Amino acid sequence: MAKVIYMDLSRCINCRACEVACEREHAGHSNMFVQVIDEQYAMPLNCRHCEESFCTAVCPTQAVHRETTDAVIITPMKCIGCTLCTIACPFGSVWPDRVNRIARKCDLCIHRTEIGLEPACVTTCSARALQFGEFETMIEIARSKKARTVINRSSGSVGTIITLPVWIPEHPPQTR
Amino acid sequence: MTNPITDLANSDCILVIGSNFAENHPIVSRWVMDAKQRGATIIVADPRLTPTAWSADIFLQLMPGSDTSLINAMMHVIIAEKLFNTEFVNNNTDGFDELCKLVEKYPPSAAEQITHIPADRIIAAARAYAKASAASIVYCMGVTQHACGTETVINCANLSMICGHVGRPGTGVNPLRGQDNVQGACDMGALVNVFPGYQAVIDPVVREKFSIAWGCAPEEFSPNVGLTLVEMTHAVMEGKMRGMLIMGENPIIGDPNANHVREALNRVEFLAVMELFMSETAELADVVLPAASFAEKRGTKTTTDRRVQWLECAIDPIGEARTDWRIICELADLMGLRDAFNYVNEEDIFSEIQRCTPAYAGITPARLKDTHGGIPWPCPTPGHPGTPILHVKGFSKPNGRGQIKPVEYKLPVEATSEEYPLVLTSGRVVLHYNSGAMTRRTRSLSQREPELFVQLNNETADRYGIKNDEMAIVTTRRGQATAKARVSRQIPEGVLFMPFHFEGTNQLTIDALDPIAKIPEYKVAACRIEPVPKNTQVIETLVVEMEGG
Repeated sequence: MAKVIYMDLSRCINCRACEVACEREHAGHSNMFVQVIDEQYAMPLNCRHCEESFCTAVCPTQAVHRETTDAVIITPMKCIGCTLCTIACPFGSVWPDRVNRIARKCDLCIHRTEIGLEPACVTTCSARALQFGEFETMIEIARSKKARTVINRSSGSVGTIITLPVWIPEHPPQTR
Repeated sequence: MTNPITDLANSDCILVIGSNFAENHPIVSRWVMDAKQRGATIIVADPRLTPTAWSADIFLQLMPGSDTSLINAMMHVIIAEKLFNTEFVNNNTDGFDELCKLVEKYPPSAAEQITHIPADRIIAAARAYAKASAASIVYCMGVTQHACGTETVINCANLSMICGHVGRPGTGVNPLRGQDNVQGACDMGALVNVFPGYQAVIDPVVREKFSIAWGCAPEEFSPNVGLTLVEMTHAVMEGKMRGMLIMGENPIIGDPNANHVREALNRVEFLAVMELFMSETAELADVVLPAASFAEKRGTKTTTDRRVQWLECAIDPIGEARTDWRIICELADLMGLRDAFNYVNEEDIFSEIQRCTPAYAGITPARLKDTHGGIPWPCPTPGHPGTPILHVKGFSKPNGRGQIKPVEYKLPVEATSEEYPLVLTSGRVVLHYNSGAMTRRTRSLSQREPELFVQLNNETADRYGIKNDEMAIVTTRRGQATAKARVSRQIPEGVLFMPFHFEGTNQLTIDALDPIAKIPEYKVAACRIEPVPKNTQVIETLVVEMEGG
């Protein structure tokens, strides 16, 4: 099963340590971008390593390719700098390196994960907004966090949270 | 800190006052976020909607310098609604009645006038803090860097004592220190009034004790309290001080009223600076001694939560650089004090610390090297496990009771006027460290935060004709600085914020001191702002182009 980075947006404090760590791992080029929205929310944004990735689809030289089950990476020597992948990416996570005239993106720190380490951004994350692990484990964290939020809002009384969604009586799900 | 940083995760309510830990101590966020996800209430009191305040359940946007008024109003609510911990107050504290009398004068409605926080929010914060089963106060330089800094800290302690939020997991009064080993430096007596272990220099018994430890006569110690940083610059100007040795400090950027500091450092007859880089201060020095960086040094560091940790160096000092203690020993040698400074290595120095500092008496280098995460002092005997939480069995006064000292609200030293109608507050940003001597030289940090900026509100910007991303001139009674305007809704109307990592900010700040701790009032100065005249901007651009071409 693929290993993924889980991002807990409520924990991100815009310290940008992930950006700097990524820069250190990748010869001065960061593939992580923390975006601040409305001066009140921060979101670390890197490659989503899409299942059906547009960047690999448009690459004329197969420089952008899926290396492992987890990661889509770019082979710099094959990259001709056409920047099609940077246009195709729906998240703006592939970016043109104007100096070297190639495209760059997150490689999920393959050189670190191969030897059992976490990606540099995850290791560095001070607020522990980023976590790395098996997809199922990460989704479990997300689920339990959601459950905790609901319980906290209902002041811990279980009776109040188990309610049927309001749309059920009016619009029952269509059956075949 | 009375409690470990990690213990914040056990708190049910965290009152953050005058701390922007998300930017200045990002790692602290980890445990505060853990507490929040467990359901804790986070209260943040800050003039600005900082990244720390993003996570707040109750955000108290107060005017700079009004912290005491806020805390008094919170205690007013707690006492009026009988939310205080009667048992703890009766059994463990003195002075509660005087406090009741004083805070009666501070109803939330009156505090609203001073702090600009809606009264209902003050009431909500007071109830959340008092009703929590374990509540913690986290404070930092937002409350200390005022002429009334010490009093505000006392008031934080008052609040925690009347609610009984002391001496248990998840509680406490927790100051976050400004740098990684500031706690250690204070423990070692790098202060003007104490020997290592906070033993007063004015006490003849203590002087006797150290004369034996250091092999000299008690008369050789000065019985007087020395001069603090800002007092030294004044002493130079008055001709009372003629030479200075500055270690790891960049006063030209970091000290208040920097124009005055520059004048003093120019006037001093001899100036030696121990530095990693040619900092703004080192440029004025007669002699610069190359110091070693953190990675080239070994020994102990004491963190903000009093944990003494052993660190090994990653590399040996490069080039001519030497560790600070070696430089000091060699200077001592040249002064004919070889026998008094005959240390062999860092372990040797630590053994002396262990002998002279009661709180460190049970900590040995060998023990530290074996203890992952370090040992929190007080650790008075060799087998003692250390003290992660203070005041578990009572306070440090001889009768074991905590002294509640009521504190009146005081106005900041410099009031706004017609000529200087705005309030300037200074602070830090996440990407830079202190005077920026290191971080402004680090490309990945400086390109993300390259220059001095002044943060101001939309309305303030409109009123004074300031445009976002354009240069503006900020003026106080002490100086003038040009900074790029950053129009933001994070900051209230009438307040300006500037980070002090760049030259300029501290030319504006005031060198008024707290009478006890002698900390300068970095956080409040009266100022005005105006746009840089258009013609000047054109000329500057031309000059840059010509120089560039």
